[in-house]
Amino acid sequence: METDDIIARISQKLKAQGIEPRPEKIASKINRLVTEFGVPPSEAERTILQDTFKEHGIEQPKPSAPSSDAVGIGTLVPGEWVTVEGKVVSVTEPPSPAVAQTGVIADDTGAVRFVIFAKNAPALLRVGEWFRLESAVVDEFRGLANLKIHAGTTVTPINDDRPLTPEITRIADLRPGIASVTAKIVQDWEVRHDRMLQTGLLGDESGTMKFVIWKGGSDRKLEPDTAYTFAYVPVEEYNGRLSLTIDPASCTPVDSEIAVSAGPAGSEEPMPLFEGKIISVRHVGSETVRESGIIATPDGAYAFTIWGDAQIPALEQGNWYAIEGATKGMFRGAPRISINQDAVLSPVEDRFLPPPPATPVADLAPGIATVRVKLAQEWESRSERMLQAGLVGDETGVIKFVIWDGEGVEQIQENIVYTFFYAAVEEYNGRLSLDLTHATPLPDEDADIEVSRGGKSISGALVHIASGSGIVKRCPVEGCNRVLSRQNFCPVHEFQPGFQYDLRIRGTLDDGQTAHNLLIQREAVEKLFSMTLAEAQDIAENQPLGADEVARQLGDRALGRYLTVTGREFEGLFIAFDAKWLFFDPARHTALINRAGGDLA
Amino acid sequence: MTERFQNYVREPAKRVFAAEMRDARHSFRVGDDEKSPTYLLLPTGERCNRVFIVGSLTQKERVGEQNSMYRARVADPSGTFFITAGSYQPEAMQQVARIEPPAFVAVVGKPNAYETPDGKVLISIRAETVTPVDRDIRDLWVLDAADATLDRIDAFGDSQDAETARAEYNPNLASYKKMVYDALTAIRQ
Repeated sequence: METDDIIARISQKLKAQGIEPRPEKIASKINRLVTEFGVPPSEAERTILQDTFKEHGIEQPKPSAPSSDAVGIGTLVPGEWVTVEGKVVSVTEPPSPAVAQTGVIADDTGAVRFVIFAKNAPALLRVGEWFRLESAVVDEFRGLANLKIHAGTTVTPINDDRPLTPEITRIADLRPGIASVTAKIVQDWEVRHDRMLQTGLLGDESGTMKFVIWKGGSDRKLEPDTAYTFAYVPVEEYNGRLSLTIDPASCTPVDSEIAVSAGPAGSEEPMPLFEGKIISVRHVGSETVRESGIIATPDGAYAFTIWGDAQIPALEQGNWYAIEGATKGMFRGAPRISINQDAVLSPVEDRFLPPPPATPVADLAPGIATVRVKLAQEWESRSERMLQAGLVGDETGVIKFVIWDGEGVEQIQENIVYTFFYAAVEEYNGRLSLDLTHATPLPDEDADIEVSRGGKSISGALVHIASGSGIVKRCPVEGCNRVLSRQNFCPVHEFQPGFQYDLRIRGTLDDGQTAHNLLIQREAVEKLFSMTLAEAQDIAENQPLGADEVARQLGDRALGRYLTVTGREFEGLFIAFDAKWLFFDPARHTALINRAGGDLA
Repeated sequence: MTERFQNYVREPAKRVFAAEMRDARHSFRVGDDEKSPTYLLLPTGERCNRVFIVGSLTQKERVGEQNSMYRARVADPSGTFFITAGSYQPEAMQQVARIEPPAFVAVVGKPNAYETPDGKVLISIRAETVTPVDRDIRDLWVLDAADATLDRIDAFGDSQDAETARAEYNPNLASYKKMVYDALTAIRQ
């Protein structure tokens, strides 16, 4: 549908320049840019239009000629120059000194936020009055249409107060932007922010939504259980949830009874009836969370949360239950089962649960896992509540662990291999750690494992490749190994025609915080590029550009790519004996989506 | 040829989405000698002297006297970066010359703020290197930029950069979080 709109707009603009549009060709270009190259639709539209104008030798016209006919505010599309006539229904304190005024302007088709920048600002608008704005620009600010009134905008007051009735939107139909609602205040929450005057929940027949009143306005509060009409209020999105920012001065009590329906659920998936064994359960007892713990099900073990509104008896550790009406969602990057008021639970007979297989440390992912590890390093505890912290490891690698103090919790001992059943694998800032506090340890005093200590690994983008990368010649004198010049000259041993070749990459691996000087050694370079030293030597000796050609080929394939390198840091130079390309990780993608908004606030 | 590395600390390349870069306008210099680095202050409260971005090169054109410079547009899921590569960046200029849009590219460069005649501040990136990459790298970069942006939002506190960002931009951090969310959900559909 969006594609059709873009085609229509492009066609119209081409026609205005006397070019006959070809919708199929435009559609295929949109598809290529948007689908294949992930270009935002607005940028694709602009690109296609400009490229087509260029093909026809037309000088780039202004975004669109300022039209003198006023358009409906509800129809504004970012990227256009427009003339509108509307009533200023509110003005707000400018968010920064660069802004002279912000507010909301409305006509009978809708409402939009406007902004006037301090630099070269035309006259400010007065609330409650009508204005004609010629040559204003619709742009996008934080994902919403925003009307920009700039030095070139002609602002003319309209001296008659036209009737304007806000159109009421049902709460379930609200989208980020400006809207008017009629709703009843159903909950008054405790205020936890200095600048906040009141917050709570309001609702209508279609659902409920959070509202906020900031201090600095009329300091009037809304009465619980009272219905109001809120005209032209901002609907904002935070963490994937909408809320209304209300100015009590612009709301009017209404005399109608509203039957408020309960709010919509989150992004949890309902689960079919399942059976599981309670591995551990802890009483939390807060207003929202009653208990939490770990449950083993036939398809794996999960963390679970019993919410405050759940209507089920207390769970017994070690018992089996059949659970119906639970939901599954993601919490902090790991799957989690939620048991709330809709869940029904019945005890079922105890039965054999095969011990879960151990996961190699290198393969751990956020969630619940069983590991077979040995203490590799013990760290000084940094908090009273922390019983023990450090590294545990197996043949595949090491991982940070923590054990929190608590009843019956013990430290782990050196030189003993433990199997920890149902440990919590947590992720923080992209790094995994194990919480062994509630895991069940099983020491195996006869066993031993070789913990892989490896080198240090760092990941980042290769943002620079230095000269001296690729194939180089080294001085063959015992213990020298210096890189020779093009003329085979060693700074110490002079001309050395009997040189040896080597392959390496010198450059900068940048993780966004630190730019590491990096040297990737031959074995790692060969593996990374599937190019042996012999093949590189063949290119260097037989192609016109010689060694430069090797450097160019490696550079083209490595620059701007992500790598994980393993090795040791030595006087500010990271020497890598292993290097791997980094690939897209769907689990990291999911975890980030949760972190950016799928999670609880 | 020696194997010594320069003893200055290279500025890391920050990961920034186009929509955040577009909101930036405050830049400052640390120290007053000619080589002192200039930083652009990001609205999420961190200075940046260099950026690493991956997106789709949608257009390029030669501009300037004797066509001495390339100007290009690179789109990420949140918006568009403006890239320049002039004769002082011969490597980047040759690389841009070889790439036909549309194409995924990785760009390392230095952000510059400049003011247009009508008082708008535009940010352009003077490229050091521009390399063609594939969609997988672009998607990986979106994760990387998302991670870095969320880290900045989470760390937004009492640091000097955060204080300045608060005064200069009064940023709506929730909207940047939304931008990250939108970028993440725009890839791999």
